[in-house]
Amino acid sequence: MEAEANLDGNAKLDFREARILCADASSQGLDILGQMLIGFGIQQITRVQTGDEFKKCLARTKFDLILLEGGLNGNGYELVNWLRRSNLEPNRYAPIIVLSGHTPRAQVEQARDCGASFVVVKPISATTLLARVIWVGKNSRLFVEADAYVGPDRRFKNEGVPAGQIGRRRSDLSGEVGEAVDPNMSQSEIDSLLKPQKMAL
Amino acid sequence: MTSVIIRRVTTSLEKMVRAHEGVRVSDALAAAEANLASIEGICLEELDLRLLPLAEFARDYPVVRPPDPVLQQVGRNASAALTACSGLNKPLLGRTLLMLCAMTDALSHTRHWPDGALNPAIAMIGLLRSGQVPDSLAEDLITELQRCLVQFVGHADAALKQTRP
Repeated sequence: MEAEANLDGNAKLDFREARILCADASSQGLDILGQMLIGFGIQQITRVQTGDEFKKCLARTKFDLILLEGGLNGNGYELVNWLRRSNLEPNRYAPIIVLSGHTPRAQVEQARDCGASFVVVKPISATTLLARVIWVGKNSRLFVEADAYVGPDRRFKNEGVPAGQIGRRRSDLSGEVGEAVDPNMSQSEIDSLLKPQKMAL
Repeated sequence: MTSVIIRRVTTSLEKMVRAHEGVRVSDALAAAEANLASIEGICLEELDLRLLPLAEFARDYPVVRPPDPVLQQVGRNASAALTACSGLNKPLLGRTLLMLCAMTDALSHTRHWPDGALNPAIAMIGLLRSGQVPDSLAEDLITELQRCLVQFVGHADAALKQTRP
């Protein structure tokens, strides 16, 4: 989930009404996040330091964005998974950015499957954080609910139906190439499609 | 048959980041940087507080493998230092701390322990903190640390394969 920070400095942001939930066991981490968010123009920031507070807050207030430290409660990914599978609407659909240091081996699969919108690796700069927030905001992805996964669609590109399988979507095309329905193209027709151009080396 | 529900969800965040009014991105970033500068002292204090036990670890365990709880504590200190690093604009120090976390995690899965396994990374962190290494040299040293990490991960993989056939 890593993407280059590519920000348009002239673009506008309006976070005056935004409600953000920041969850991190470290007050230092919360201070750093808070300073960045205040700089972005965010005025309503709720800080929590435990998993219990996180859950209680989500039951009370609607949030536009959730920033969660991956190590909260020993495993912040479990909290994301809990929220995505909860009945706390609309918070269960809210964008969640997980801020992570090194993800221990034992949690790598959980990190992939927890349903976060983005995982950002520390140390986090203001530029990186804002780029990810904008990316998450602009790239609204379909929300998928399945037995093994609940969260934003993790597929970033569509490479078609896997070989040897039948597509399950209405828009999926068959992997089989059928009989030709039109006569073969002539060489001049093919040439006209390619439009070769002269060039000098 | 597995059922899958797919919803199209519109979030309020989208409206906020596509606003026609409000603050410019460049101004927001400048304000955030200025705010971070105001807590730089606190971040440095926290960073040093976390680096001190790392230096002590390198001194106390120059060669032998430490017990698991000690190794886990190294990982926790490195991780906390990494958090403090976010407020300091020191990307190379951050990368090295992240590598130390990864090394600690890898070595916790194996009994493999080359002499002073974590000492080069900890020494590098000390040098980067004190600003004694030029960036170009630091990049080269980080590449070497990366090679150590790859080795450690290889040993961890092998150890995990043995325990989970």
